[in-house]
Order: sequence, then C-alpha cells, then structure tokens
Amino acid sequence: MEDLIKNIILNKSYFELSSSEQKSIQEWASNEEEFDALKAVLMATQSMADQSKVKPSSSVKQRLDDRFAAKHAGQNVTLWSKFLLFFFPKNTQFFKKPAFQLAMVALIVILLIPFLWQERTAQYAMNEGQRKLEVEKVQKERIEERDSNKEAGQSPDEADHKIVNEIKDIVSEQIEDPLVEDSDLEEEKLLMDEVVTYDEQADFALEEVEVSSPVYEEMEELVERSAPQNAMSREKTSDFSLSKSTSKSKVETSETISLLTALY
Amino acid sequence: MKIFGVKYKKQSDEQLVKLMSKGDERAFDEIYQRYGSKLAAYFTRKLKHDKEKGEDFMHDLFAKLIDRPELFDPNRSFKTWVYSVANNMCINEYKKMAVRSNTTNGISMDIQISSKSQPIEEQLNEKNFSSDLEKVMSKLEEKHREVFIMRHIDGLSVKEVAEIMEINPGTVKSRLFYATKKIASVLQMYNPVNEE
Repeated sequence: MEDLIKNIILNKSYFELSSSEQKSIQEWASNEEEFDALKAVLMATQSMADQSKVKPSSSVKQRLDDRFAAKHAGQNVTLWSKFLLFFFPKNTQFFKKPAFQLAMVALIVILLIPFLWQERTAQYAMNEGQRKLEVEKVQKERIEERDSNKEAGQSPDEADHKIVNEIKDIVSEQIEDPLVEDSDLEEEKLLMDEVVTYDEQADFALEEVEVSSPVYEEMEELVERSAPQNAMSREKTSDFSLSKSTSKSKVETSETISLLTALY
Repeated sequence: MKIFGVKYKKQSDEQLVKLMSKGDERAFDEIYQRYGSKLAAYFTRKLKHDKEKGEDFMHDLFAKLIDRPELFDPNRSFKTWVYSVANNMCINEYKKMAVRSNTTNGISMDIQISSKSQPIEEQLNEKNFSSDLEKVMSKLEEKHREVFIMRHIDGLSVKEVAEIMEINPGTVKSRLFYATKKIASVLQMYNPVNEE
C-alpha cells in the first residue's frame, strides 16, 4: 500500500472521495464497508505503533557509552584531543568552558588598555632651541644696532629702550600663546632680565667712560690751578681716575670733593 | 572534532556511522536516539513482548555496531541494514528457543515448533493480546504478519521491507495486500457499526 492511498483512507470518508481517488483505492476497497474496515485497521495500527514505543532504560545507554569509551580510549589520547577536551569539555555549560572564560578575560583586558594611561596630559612638541636662538639673535642685533647708532650719533639709551621693547614684545607674544607653559615663560623672563641687566651694566660702563672723561679733565685743570697744597686730594683724584669705579654715586662724590678742593 | 561542531541532527545515518567509527561519541548518541527505542520496540514485539529481552537484544546490536562498525557497508541504507541484522537476530533466537523447547528447558512443553503449526510467538503470547487487531494479526502467517508490522507499525517502506527480508518488492506488496485485506475482513465482522 502506497502512502498516497494510506493517506486518502485515513483522512477522508468514502462519500468525500473523488472519482480519481475512488479509482486509485478500487483495488483495496471496492465499497464503503471495505473502505471503513480498512480505515479502522490503519487507525488501529497507528495507535498500536504509538503504544508499542519502548523507552529503553538508561542503564542500557550507560553500558553502551562505557563500551564505546573503552573501544575508542586509545584513539582519543592525542595531544590535540587533550587540548580540545581541556578547553571544550563536554557536558558543561558554555560559560563554564575554559575557552570561553579565557576569551572573556582577553576581551576585558583589550577593552581596558586604552583607559589605563589617561591621567597624563597631552604633550605637544615645543621647539625651545629656536626660542633661545631668537633671544641670541636679538642680542646680536642690539649690539650691531648700537654700533650703528654710535656711528650715526644716536644716543645709546634710545637704542637700548627700543631693543628692550622689542624683546618685551616677543615675550608678551609668547605669554599670550596658550601652548607655552609657565616654566617656559619663567625661563623666558629670566633670560629677558639677564639681557636687561647685562644691558644696564654695559650702558653704565659706557656712560661712565663718557661722563667721567670731561670731569676728569676738569679735575686736572682744577688740580693744576689749585697747586700742590692738596696732595691728598690729588692722590684721591688720581686714585679715583685710575680705579674707575663701577658705581655712578662714587663718581658724583669725587666730583663734589674735587669741586670743594677747588673752592679752597 | 570540530570546534564549531557538526550538526548531528542534520547528518544522515550513514555519515553518523562513519563519524562513530572514528570515535565520535556524539554521532553514536544521535544514532542511538534515532534507532534505540525503535529497535527496542521491534525486539520486544518480536520476542513475545518481553521488554527486558528486547532491551538486551537492542544492546547487543549496538554493541556489535560499536565493536565492528566495518560490518556496515556505507553504500547501503543503515536503516535497512540495522533492521535486517535485528531480523536475523530474532530468527537465531527462534532457533535457540526451538532447541530449548526440544530439551524442555525454559519453555513450556505445550508449545510445539513446526512449520505447519501456529508460530511459536503466537502460542506464547496469544492470551496477552488485548486488542482485536493483535488477535487477528496473531492468526496471520508469519510472513504476512512480519510484512504488515514492518510496513504499518515500524513505518518502513515497501522497498526497505524487501531489503530487510531479502525478498522481492512485488512479493512484499502481495503479502501486504493479503494481510491487510485479511485483517480488514475480520475486523469488519467485529465492527459495531456494521453489526447494527
């Protein structure tokens, strides 16, 4: 009996059959009674098949598993199978498998790495050498300018003030730059102060030479006129002229002394 | 063994047996799941509804498969192979039972083994059959009953039944036709609708 005929008999009543279906089952059931009897048989066999289902006991399966394990025990002892058995053990939930756990740990580490060194602020490249060179360049320019001013007859004070203002402008520009750090600015200021101090000292020396030379001539004239009565004062004057003291106040004091001696 | 796994449910019986012979335990589990209960039912029915005996026979069959998987020819259908092995095991058991009955060991003296007499399984279990169908089936000849059970209860096709019983498919069809008509005619007499 083909499955098609079986399905027709099981699913339809005799009066529901089409002519073609009746033809196909003609061999098996020629009338309604035979059809119903056949239907009853097939239904009974189905229920019998359901009833006859036997669930084997677990001990049978256990014995077979043991036999299977014993049979293939030698085959499974390879390095690769050991590795797989360790990382992918059978009959364990996926989150308990070592391979899964290791993968999760690795994932966490990879995700945390970018956040580990975030406390450090961003550092930008700074060309400090160039800044020092600028200062040195300014100094050179200043000296050259001074020399040129000397030649041109311009007063050195004006030139110095001009140069100092230039340096101040450069420094103020760098202060306004937000990328420049405080330490760098302090260094810059110190450099500027050094430059200014050096300039002042240099100016003073030049002034001293220029200012003291007419006084010295005047003093010599006075000394010649006032005779050798004041050997002491002349010694002092000569000492003063020879010593070339570095302070401006000393020069003024000697002037005063020489004037007083001249009055005497 | 593959990491991302073989989909055992989608594998054919033959592929599973091949995997099983290489030591794949899951393949064996799948084969057991597919045929364990069916074969246990088959043996139980063939061996006079003795459930324990049916389970033992089923165990022996799978043990044979584990020990010597090469016995299965991959070119054949596993289903027909396993049922033909089961059928042969039952035939051997009938022979053993016949010998025992001749030596009066185990089986009642009332049961006679002969080709002309009623089959031994019918004699043993006739009183246990509860349904009319079973009664009618028991009255059938062995060759007709086997074909009928395999086709309608075990759900095998005509071709598979022919391969298992090592007979012509035409013979299976004729036996099946005869058994079905016979049972239907007998049940028609007991049909309460018809009686009315």
